[in-house]
Amino acid sequence: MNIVAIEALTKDYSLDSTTVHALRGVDLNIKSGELLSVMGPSGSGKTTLLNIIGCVDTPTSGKVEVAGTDIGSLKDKELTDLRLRKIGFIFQTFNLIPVLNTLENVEFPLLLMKEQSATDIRRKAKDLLHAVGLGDHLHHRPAELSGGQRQRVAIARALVTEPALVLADEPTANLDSATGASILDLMVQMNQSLGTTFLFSTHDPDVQKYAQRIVKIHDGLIQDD
Amino acid sequence: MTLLRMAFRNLFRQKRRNIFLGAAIALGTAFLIIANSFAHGISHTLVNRIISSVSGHVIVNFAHLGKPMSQMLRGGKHWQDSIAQIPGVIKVEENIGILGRLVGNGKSDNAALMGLNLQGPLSPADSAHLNDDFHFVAGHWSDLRDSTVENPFIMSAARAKYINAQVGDILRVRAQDVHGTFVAARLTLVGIFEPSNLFMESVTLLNIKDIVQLINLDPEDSPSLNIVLENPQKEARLVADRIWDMLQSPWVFIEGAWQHQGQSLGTAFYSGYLSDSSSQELLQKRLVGDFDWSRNQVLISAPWAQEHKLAPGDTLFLEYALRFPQADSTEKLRLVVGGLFKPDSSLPPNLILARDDYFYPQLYGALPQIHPLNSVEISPDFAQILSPEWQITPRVSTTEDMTKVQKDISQGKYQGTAVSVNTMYEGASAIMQLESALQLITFQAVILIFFIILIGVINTLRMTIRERTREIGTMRAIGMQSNQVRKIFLLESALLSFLAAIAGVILAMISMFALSQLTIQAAGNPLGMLLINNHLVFVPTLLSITLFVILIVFITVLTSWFPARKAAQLTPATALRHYD
Ligand SMILES: Nc1ncnc2c1ncn2[C@@H]1O[C@H](COP(=O)(O)OP(=O)(O)O)[C@@H](O)[C@H]1O
Ligand SMILES: [Mg+2]
Repeated sequence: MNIVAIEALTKDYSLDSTTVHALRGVDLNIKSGELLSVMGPSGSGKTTLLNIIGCVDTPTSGKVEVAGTDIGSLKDKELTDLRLRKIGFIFQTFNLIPVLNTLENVEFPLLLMKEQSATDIRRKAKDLLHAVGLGDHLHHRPAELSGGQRQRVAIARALVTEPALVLADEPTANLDSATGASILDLMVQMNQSLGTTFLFSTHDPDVQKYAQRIVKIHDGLIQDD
Repeated sequence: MTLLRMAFRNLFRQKRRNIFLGAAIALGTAFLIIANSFAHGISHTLVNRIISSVSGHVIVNFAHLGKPMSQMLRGGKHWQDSIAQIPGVIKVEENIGILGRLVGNGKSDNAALMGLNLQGPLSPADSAHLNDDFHFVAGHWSDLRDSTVENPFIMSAARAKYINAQVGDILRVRAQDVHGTFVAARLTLVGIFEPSNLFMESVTLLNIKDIVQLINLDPEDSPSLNIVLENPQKEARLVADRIWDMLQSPWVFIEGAWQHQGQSLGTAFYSGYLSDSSSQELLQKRLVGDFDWSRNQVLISAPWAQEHKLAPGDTLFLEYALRFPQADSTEKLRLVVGGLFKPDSSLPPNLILARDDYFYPQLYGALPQIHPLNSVEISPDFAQILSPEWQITPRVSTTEDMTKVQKDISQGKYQGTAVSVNTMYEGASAIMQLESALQLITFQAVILIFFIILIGVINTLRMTIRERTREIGTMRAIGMQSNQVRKIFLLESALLSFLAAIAGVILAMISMFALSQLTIQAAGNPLGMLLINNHLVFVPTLLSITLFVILIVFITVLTSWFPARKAAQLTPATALRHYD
């Protein structure tokens, strides 16, 4: 089953008088449970592609289905709801909420969902933080954590809603290589233990070995799948 | 709940900026509350202390025979009970104030002699008021009750010093009594006080029962009245209107036995006509034959004249029964006929009319019994012509109009007793204007605060939003709806303004406490009347403080709405890509 189905996707950005063609006809299917890497140099369109799959940006043309829903017809409210329930995000710059501690950051998406009791939410967040190895740092604020620790919190936050798909845009770019490797190990481990689909982008060829499938992107076109 | 917690923690992220804005809002709020409480304090001082102790909340003034210095209504004593029955009236006090000349040891001074009501036991509140109003340097107000000394009185230290008098001294006073006759009396100084407010400085106070004797007030007559109300701000005007309605004057028809050249003419009625030009013009149309309008000649009705063959130049004698019999039970008058007039069917056919300035002194000199005819309806023409038992002046709503009425009285417009009903608002509207001026300052403070908030909040929020754009993007990506983003920012400014407003309230309370501790010497300065015992008075009310806090939070939230909405409308991709 395809968790993502993309056909003839283009994305243009107009900058002053010129138009940047960030994606120029992308076809891509991602199966449920895959761990897939999008690789390409800087400016090749990785972030643009992930943003569209993650429903934070809209396509210029083409068809995009995420978790069985055609996102072209959705309003902002519905897109937001889709992101909340189906998609987890991991960012290059970690993007934790600075005023919330580790535990609260992980609880945050579940609190937005308003479906579970506060105790269930707390238990779930704690379990996940233990699983990513941060059981001892529940009450630290992001500023008190190292880069690697922050990214682990981000992974726990992305997984806490049990999403269909986790998108990670260059998750190791701001980390040293050893820490980066441990983050990628963690993602592989979560992919295997939870069966969550992972899509991460990278410009670093060394990272290839973690992915089951590698998609190479260049100048807004998929070169090699 | 999480949003509130986040808003609260976010406040402490940009500490300096928020403390600065918060301090501005707090200062504004404090200013607002201080100004408002001061304005309240003024009306409080005025309404509860000065006015009720000096003149009452509603004042009923009588100008006997139209003379402003002669404050009495003949036969008016019973009105005091009727007024006391009106709901909301706490007490009706006789207000006796006369001007006199006080002769001290080698010096003399004009003095306003006022009566202090010490009849019966005083309520603890009244005693407390008296103790607050006067700080005795020597003697005490309770010495006014001392019946062993002759006419005990108290006066301010400044006045006592001026006329060189000490407690125990006997001074002479010359004044006019209610009938306009000069009287002299000996007064004993029993107390010297420092006044708590400027109004009290110039008054010389006697026990009301002594002053009643001094001015020869008969027991059935009423001096002017001070009426103290339970709820003056709300009810003063209503009660004044009711009293005014109540005090509408009846007509006065004196029924008596008439004689001409030793012959009885049977009974007939005697009344007065008003001498102002419009009334006289109306009466002119009713004349039969000539009349030169002379003061001491009366008009008699034509049918009655015909019946008894009376003509101008005839002398008549009238004898009538008194309302309050004393040594005599009847009064005899000698009247000279000057002309004839035709009464209409609303009047008795046997009626004799005298000019008001001739009639009223006779009337008040010997009040007749009340005749049923006094309360019948009479034709509009004669309603304008006849003189009622007393003359009520129009109700006014401003000091200006009140002054006009007083001017009319002092210029002799009224020949009968002019009765005016006023509230402290009309009487003190000049001071009340000061309160509204202060309310205006409060209003300007609101505007000022509004601008502080407008500029401060918009700028702060703009900076905050710019700094947190990527955070907004993150939250949106994770699944926060745009209206929740807006809510976070609105909560944040609501919280800031609420905390700042509370800080402002505390600051205002502390400042007001400190300011009211200051002793201000304002002798001779008219603004001194705003002080009580040389201290400023602030009256903060819970209601207005609550309203101000709500107002400030409301303004802030309203101002934050637009920047917050802008933050909420950022697309998540744009917000995420933002680097600062
Ligand atoms: N908001 C934008 N406005 C204009 N051009 C953009 C915008 N976002 C991305 N681009 C351009 O689109 C191309 C692809 O960018 P991006 O998807 O960020 O590449 P990558 O993530 O692979 O570095 C680049 O040429 C970039 O300059
Ligand atoms: Mg990128």
